Amino acid sequence: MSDGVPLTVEGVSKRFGDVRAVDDLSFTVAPGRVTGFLGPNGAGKTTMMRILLGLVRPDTGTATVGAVPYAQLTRPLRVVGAALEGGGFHPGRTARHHLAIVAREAGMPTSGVDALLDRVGLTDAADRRVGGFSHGMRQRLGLATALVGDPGVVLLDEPANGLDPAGIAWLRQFLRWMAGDGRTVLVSSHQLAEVAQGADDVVIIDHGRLVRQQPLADLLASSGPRVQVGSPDTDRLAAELVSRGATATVVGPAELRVEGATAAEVGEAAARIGAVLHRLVDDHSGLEQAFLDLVGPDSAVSEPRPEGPS
Amino acid sequence: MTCLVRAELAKVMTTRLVWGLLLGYLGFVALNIVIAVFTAGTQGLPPLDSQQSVRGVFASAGTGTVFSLVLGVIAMTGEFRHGTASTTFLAVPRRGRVVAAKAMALPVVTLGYAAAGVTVTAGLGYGLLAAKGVDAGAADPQIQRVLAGAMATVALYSLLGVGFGALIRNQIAAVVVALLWVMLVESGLVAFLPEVGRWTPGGAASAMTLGEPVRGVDLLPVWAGALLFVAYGVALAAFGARSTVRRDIT
Repeated sequence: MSDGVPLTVEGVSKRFGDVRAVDDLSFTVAPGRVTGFLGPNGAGKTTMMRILLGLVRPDTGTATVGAVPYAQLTRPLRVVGAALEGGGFHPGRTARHHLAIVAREAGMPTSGVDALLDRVGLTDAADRRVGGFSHGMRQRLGLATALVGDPGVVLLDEPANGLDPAGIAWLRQFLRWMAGDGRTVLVSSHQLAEVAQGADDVVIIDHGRLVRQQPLADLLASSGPRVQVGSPDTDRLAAELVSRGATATVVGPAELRVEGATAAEVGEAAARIGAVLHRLVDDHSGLEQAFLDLVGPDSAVSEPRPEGPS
Repeated sequence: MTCLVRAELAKVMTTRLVWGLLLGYLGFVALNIVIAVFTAGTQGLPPLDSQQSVRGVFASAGTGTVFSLVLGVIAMTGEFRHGTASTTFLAVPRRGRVVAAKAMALPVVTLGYAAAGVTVTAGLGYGLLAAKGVDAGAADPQIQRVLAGAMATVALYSLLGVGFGALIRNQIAAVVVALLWVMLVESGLVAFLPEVGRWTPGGAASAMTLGEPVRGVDLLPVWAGALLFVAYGVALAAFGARSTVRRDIT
């Protein structure tokens, strides 16, 4: 395996016609950590990844892999592995042939193909045409493709799309294993829960601009405690909580959402004023909410991905 | 570069298209031979034991160059159609090298087509002529040169296809343009404006297969035809590599 090196994006902008896909974007991705690259659909994640990989040329700015632009790497697949959306497979080719061809192009021996297939659990499907593969199988083949050159840097574009819950759990382990070996791992996703348990750092973008780059733990901490409250005394309870410095929003009949107070504090407040509680639940959708707060609910609504670059 | 050419060979040989087009090509060749043999001497055509008819039979190996052409176009444009261009250009960021590798690999594959076509032509041609009591060798002493020329054109047409594909990324558009050019524009020029037509890729290909002079205008010498044809293929591919192929892969 080659050493994990940092990815550096500096002032990158890219327009497609009138669409500003990436807008003066700068961030870094550190080796040995899993970095979630987050943003709603159409935020510019795929375009940015393709710029990092030399497939799309930025209008301005630089994107480098260990200080070298991708296109200038001498043996790129030994440094960087990538799995892009759609996979880039010929539907008429078998998984084994696909990997053997990539290995040849990378100047690697084709003898490693069996081990790769085994690594991603595709041994049984090795000689089937990719056209008949399920979404999950394609994702696995994409991962195997990324690992052909045993690279120190791995970029995965929406690798969890189409995976079932078991597949997502498997993917998280896979990401941990890769980062544990010191690799630089950048994983894009528009779904947050799947990343919450897997990432060390997050880079959040929206409309092509950087919204936040920080360790995931900091992001979760900054979003503060949240509690869902079921009570027939919503108005009185809300007033009491607000007087204690929390934010309380009536979100339905007999339903409150509280920010800035723990479940225990809400319970105490209710006891003090004699309000009835039906339900008191810690809200663990921290990342989801933090994300919505950062990018706004409008853009976070999943829209069908438009044709072409996002 | 050897690795890349071998990778391109593997790409072509691991899809079914290569076999489908081979069958199409061989069927087309066989059909041409049968037609040449059974129409000779009818409707004012020269008799079967004439040099012209015998040469027509053996030149059949060189018909169906469009199958070679289409294979080249699809090998190049398929990268964009199926999105494999991403995978390929990740491995080889200098995209011109990919086009160059295809330009070298595809003629190797279609040389295989040509060998099969020549084998079918020789077998069927000599067999049918013998069955009709014609001594092919006596009628046309240049049969081997005709077959060699046919082999070269069929092998090289895929290079031209790679060139078209590098210039026009959209697969259907590239196939249509290549076919229209070869079957309409170029054959029209060769037939009606031979002074111009002999300088086209098709004219150069005719020169390689010892085609007859058209309207008194001689075709190029064999060697010049071969060189000109290769130059067209390389020029198209190089131009495509510097323009179309460099565009963003989104």
